[in-house]
Amino acid sequence: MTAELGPGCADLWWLDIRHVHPGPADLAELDQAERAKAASFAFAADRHRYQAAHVLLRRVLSGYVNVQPGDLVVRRVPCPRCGGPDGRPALPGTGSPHFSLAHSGDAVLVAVAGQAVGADVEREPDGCMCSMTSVMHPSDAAVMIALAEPQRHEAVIRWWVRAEAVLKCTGEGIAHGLDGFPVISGPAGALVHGCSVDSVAAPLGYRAAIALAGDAGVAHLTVRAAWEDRDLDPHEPVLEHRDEVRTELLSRRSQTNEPRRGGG
Amino acid sequence: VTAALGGAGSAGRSADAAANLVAEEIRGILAAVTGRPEMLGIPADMPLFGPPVGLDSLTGTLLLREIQRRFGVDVAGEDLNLDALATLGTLAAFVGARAAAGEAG
Repeated sequence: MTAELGPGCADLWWLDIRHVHPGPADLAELDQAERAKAASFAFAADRHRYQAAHVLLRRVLSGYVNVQPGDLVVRRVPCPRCGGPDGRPALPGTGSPHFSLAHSGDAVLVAVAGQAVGADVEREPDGCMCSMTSVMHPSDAAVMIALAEPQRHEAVIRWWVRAEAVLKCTGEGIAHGLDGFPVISGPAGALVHGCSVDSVAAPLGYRAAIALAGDAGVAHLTVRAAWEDRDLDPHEPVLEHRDEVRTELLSRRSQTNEPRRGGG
Repeated sequence: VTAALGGAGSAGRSADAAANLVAEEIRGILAAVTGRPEMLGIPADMPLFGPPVGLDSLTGTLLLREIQRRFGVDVAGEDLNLDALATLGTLAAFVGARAAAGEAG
């Protein structure tokens, strides 16, 4: 699969966590750190989202590198700005595909690419986000301030997912600031902080973006597992659904985890 | 809330009372930015960032911007004070103290 992941190409895997309920055998695929983190959530909904996202991530990556999901080792590349330990997650080995995991509300998005990749998805918040203009690059903030509601609200979320996708692609934490580069107001196709960034079709009520390292653009996205098509936001660009795999990754798996009765 | 911050009483008691009021307000902000009413009931010693509350980077940023808007305190601007962000209680105490200092000055 990795051979197809040329410059500017990425695979997208969507999951609606309302449809999946990881059981003990699924959760056994998570490593010690993932299990500890899952256990520390105060609210069941957050734990469920985290567990579903990480089981999906491991199943997806497993198919690219031919390693069992539970045997995958995911390490953190140091932050390129400060050397801190919470940089981009990566698979070991120089030939391994790059990936990015995002989750919000009921949506999980995994992006896999041949170069460094950052993905973000956010459920659109109800409340006013106008104050976010104060953490934007000045030229993006000027675009927002010129807009009327509700266009501004939408634009702020669109800005956020693009900015976060870029920072996830470079591996910098948001503590280093979001105002160092414009993600909305720059020339079309221009490099943003060393990345190419684009909005991608997201489920209704969500916004999503993807960033790829380098100047090859975000040229070819392949949806390997789609959200229900009817739920995709018609205002976002339509993706090519080549090789669409509408698999219920987790539910199919959990059927095989049912205790076997009557032998076997 | 701001009126209560400058209220009478011993310094320690008024600081505690202010922090409690700020904590209550922060719970409200959390519920608003996450869209989850269960945030109204989280205890003061609940860690805010990282798993327990499940704040992601967007809701975390929204929380800090809203705190700046309502209290005039830029938590992230002060070298992203990680001690202050540890729990709901430490954030409320930090915001309460800075808001009171801002009013006095």
